[in-house]
Order: sequence, then C-alpha cells, then structure tokens
Amino acid sequence: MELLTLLGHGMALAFTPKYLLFCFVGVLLGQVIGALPGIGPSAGVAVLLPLTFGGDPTASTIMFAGIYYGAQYGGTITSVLVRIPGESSSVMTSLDGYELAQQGRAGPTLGIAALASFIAGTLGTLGLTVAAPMLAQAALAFGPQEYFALIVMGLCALALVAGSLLKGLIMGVVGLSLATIGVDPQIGTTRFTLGQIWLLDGIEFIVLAVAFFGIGEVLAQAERGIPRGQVDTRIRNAYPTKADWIACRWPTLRGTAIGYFIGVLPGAGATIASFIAYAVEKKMSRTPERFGKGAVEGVAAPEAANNAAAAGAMVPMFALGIPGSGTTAVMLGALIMFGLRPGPALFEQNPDFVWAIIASMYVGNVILLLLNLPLVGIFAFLLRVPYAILYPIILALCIAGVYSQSNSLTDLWLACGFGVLGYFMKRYEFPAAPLILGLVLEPLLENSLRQSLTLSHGDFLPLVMRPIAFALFAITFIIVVAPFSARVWRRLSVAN
Amino acid sequence: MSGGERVLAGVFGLFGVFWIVQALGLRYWGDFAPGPGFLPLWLGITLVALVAIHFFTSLRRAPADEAVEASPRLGRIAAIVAGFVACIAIIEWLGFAASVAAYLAFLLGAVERQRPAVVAGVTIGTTVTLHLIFRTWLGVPLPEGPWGF
Repeated sequence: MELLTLLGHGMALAFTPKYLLFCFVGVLLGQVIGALPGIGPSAGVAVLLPLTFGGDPTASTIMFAGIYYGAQYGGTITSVLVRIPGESSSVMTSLDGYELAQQGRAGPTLGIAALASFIAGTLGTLGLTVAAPMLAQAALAFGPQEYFALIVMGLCALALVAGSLLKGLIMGVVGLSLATIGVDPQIGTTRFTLGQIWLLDGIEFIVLAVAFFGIGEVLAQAERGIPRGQVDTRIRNAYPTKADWIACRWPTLRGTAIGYFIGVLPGAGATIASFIAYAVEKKMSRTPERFGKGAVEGVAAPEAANNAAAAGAMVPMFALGIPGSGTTAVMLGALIMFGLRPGPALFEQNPDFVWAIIASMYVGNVILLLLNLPLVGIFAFLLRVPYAILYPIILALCIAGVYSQSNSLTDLWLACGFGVLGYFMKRYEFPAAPLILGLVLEPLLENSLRQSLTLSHGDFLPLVMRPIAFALFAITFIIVVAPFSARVWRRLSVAN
Repeated sequence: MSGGERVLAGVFGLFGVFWIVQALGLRYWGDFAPGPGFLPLWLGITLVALVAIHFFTSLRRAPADEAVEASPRLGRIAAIVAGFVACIAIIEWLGFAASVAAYLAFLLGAVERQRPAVVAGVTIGTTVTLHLIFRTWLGVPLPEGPWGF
C-alpha cells in the first residue's frame, strides 16, 4: 500500500508540465540516438551531461532515463529497415526484422517491436517499482565490507560482459586509479597531482565521459565509416495483425522476464539479454528453421528483452548505487555530480527524486508507443542523415559541453587527449564502460575499504568473512574464474 | 595481439608502474588504517599484473593479422584530431563561436567534402544553436573574440 502511495506521489510529480516535457524530450532524443548508427545512449547521455549541469537533477535524470530506454526503441528502426543495428542490443532484431521488411512487412514488424517494447518496458518498470525499494531496504544492512565486495563484483561483472575479461579488468583498474588523483578524502594529502593546482580536484567525470563516449566514439566511427542503406521511409501501416500478436504474446512475456533478470545483474545489459531471449525463443519454437528467415517472434523476444533489461539495469543503480550497464554507469556519475548519493539511502533521503524517475518511466513508455506507431516513417527518415554531417555537430557539442563544465581550456585539452586514447581503446577493444564505472565508484570503494580495515584494526579477514560479503566475493570469484575454466574444459574436451 | 594493441597495453602497464612509484612516496599505513598510498599502490600492482597476464596469454594465441593495423582512414582521424587541437588553440583569441565555426567548416568542407551550401548551413546552424543554448540559455561565459562573440 505504501508502495502505491509513493508511486502515486511520483506520478503526480511526473505529470507536472516540466517533468512531462523533459520525459518527452528524453524519449524523443533516445529514439533519435537509437535510430542513428554510430551514437549510442552512453554517448548521448555523456554528451548531453554538461547541458544539465546546475539544473534540476530530477528533470535531468528523467531525460537521461528517457534517452536510455528510448534508444532501445529507436535502435530497432535501423535493424529492421537497413540491417544496421543502431544499438548493439538490436543486433538480434535485425536477423528476422530485416527479412520481414524484405518481404514487405516492415510496418507491422516495427509495430510489433514497438508493442513488445512497450509491454516489456512497462512490466520492467513495474519490476523496478517493486524490487528496487526491497533491495534498498535489504541493503540498509550493508556495512563497508559488503559495499567493498559489491563494488568489486560490479566491476568484475561489467568487465566480463565488455568482451575480454582481462581487458575489462585493466580498464576498471585504470578508472579506479584515475579517480585517486586529487586530495585524499580522509587525510587530505594530495595524490598524483604532479604539483599542478588544476589536478587538486581530480579529473572531472564529465571530461572523461565525453572524451571516451563522445570524442573517442566519433573518431572510431569516422574511421570505420557508417554504411548508408537505401531506406524507404514511406511506411504506411505500422499496426501488426491479430495473427502477429497471437504469435508474439508468449515470446514477448518470456523476453520480458529474461531481459529483466539479466538487466538486474550488475554488468549484464540489454545486449546479452536480447541474445539470450532470441536463443531461448528459437530453442522453444516448433519451427526453429523459420528463425533468421522472417519469424516475427524473433523480433518480439529480443525487443522485449532489451527494453526490460533497460528497466532492470536501473534496479542496482537506484537500490545499491551499482550500475547495471555502461549507460547507467554514466547516469550514476551524473547523479553524483548532482550531489545525490545513489544507493539504499536514496529512497529515504530523496524519495521525491526516485519516485518521480520511476513514475516517469511508465509515462515515457506510453509516449514512446504513441510516437512509434504513427511516426515510424519520420524516424526512418533520420537514417538519411549521413554520419559525415552528424559527427562534426557531435564534436562541436562535445567542445561546448566540456568547456562549459568549469570554463576551462585545460579540460578541453584533457578531453582531446583522452578522446584520442578512447579511439585507440575502441580500435583495440579495450572497453570504456568499466573505466567509467571505476572512476565513479572509486571514492565509495576506497572509503569502504579503509573503514573496514579501520574497524578491524588492519585485519583483512573480516573484510571477506561476513556472510553477505563472502557470498559476493564468491560470485566475483566465479565471474573471474568461469571463462578460464570454460576454456580449459573445452581444450580438455577437444584433446579427449 | 597486434602491434598497436601491444603498444596500448604497454601504455597501461607503464601507467601502472608510474602509479606504483608515486604511491610509494605516499604513506602506506596510518596508526589504525590504510594511508593514502595503500589503494593506489595495490591498484598499480594489479594493473601491472593484469597487463603482464594479457601479454602472456596473447603470446600463446595465434598472431593477429597485421593487415588490420593499416587503416585507410587514419589520415581522416589525424585531420579530425588536428582540427580539434587547432580549435582549442585559437578559442581564446578568436572566441568560441568563430573557432567552432571554423572547425565545423574544416570538417565538413575539407575532410568530408560536402557541398558548400551544406557546409554553410550546418556550420551556421550548429554554431548559432550552441551559442543560444550555452551562452544565452545556460549563461556559460564562453570565450569572446575581437568581434564580441
């Protein structure tokens, strides 16, 4: 009952004209960002971050959340129409979506994707509404030992799903290290400042987020080049038939469940969720041979999964202060920048903020559905904008954004340097998300570690022997060891 | 592991060594708890260890196709970065609007070879929009040039 009261209060806030406007702008931008290949929601949030500096945190976060889940909708359009996934989470959608478009069913395919996304987004938000406060309540019992273990687990999990575990871990440690630049939070000693006054405050989160997700990403895409597909924007009928809907009911619900639970896991995200949902659907189908040749279930399941995962990824971010994906890592940094402390205390100290965001997600999903079905042709038109015109605009926005953060040219030089580093990282597949996560979580990690060791008078054993901390470390151990074990097992199997 | 990847991993390894050396100059342990040098030292050690493992495991894999190394678009990347550097360098003299406009015109006209009308339209549109958002709406004191904007 209390939950409904809180959600009702959040709804009242979400329906105020200001928050409604930010929600609309967020989901619209998310749609556009998702539809445009070469710019993802992480980059979108990072590049727009400076615009919100000093503004209303609730309105800004409503917009960022809108960009995140809106991009999941938008990514579908490119997947279906030109087989170029706007987002990595839409890769699976392109397999059957494009085939259906080739068969003249682009409209109904986009329609079923929008419906599946809406159902999954709404149910995922419902899951967020129920699970996040419960998890936050349970996490109130967490001491510094549990937080330390949780952050280590979050970093390892994100490193695991970033491609190469080893590269992910390297980037996570680089992020943690960069965050130690500046004044030590407990004693006040300066660290790694090299005698430079401008380094006393450390390296700003915005500078690195824009550098890696904005500039680095742009350079990498400019090198690869984005193919332009021939797009027929005259999509007349985006409403699926009754038969489509009957075929997609259960795949949508299964995709939602899979996506939500994978999204909740720290580190796992929408992309993995969509892969698993597609694989499960193919496995369960009586006609698996249709998959890849135009099965509408092959569109509904991954679309439901990636949208539910976007909502699920918000659960650990709000309840524990541990992001579930790269985009939520950037959002977490934004919350800290706004002076909020994500984690269990957020529900007690800033209930208006949390419940307004959650309520806005219900509203945003409705807006997305309303935008998607009638306006799909307009979004498809965006595909005609060449990347050659788009990326100079993104770079100009990066310059303005980084400068505006503290009116400093030094930040611009840093952004330029880290942007080039980001390009090489992208080129050699060193993921940026664990670095950003390490940067954001280092203060909490260091404080937890030092508090734990102070409480135990320097004894390391209590750090790992408390039950919850032990369980979290055990999961971390499995995360780190499992890929190596699997490789050894495969080799042994081949040898035998 | 390709040559470039090896260099990048080496950079991260050197970064770890630098962190270790710097952390050794900080207090490792206080009276009851870790000092400011404790975590950075272990982060540096972990980083060096991870890079070493990465090198070791990559040696056991088949060598990467070196053809991947040569990028036909590297000149394009260099031009974008050089333009970015030039833009930052002139921003205090020419002001934000003129510098960003010059950078946009350079990217669209010289690097991407767009039609003059597109170059002019996108350059003017983007510069004016950014000026309106950051200067007028958000009140950011963007650097001004000799002509007052």
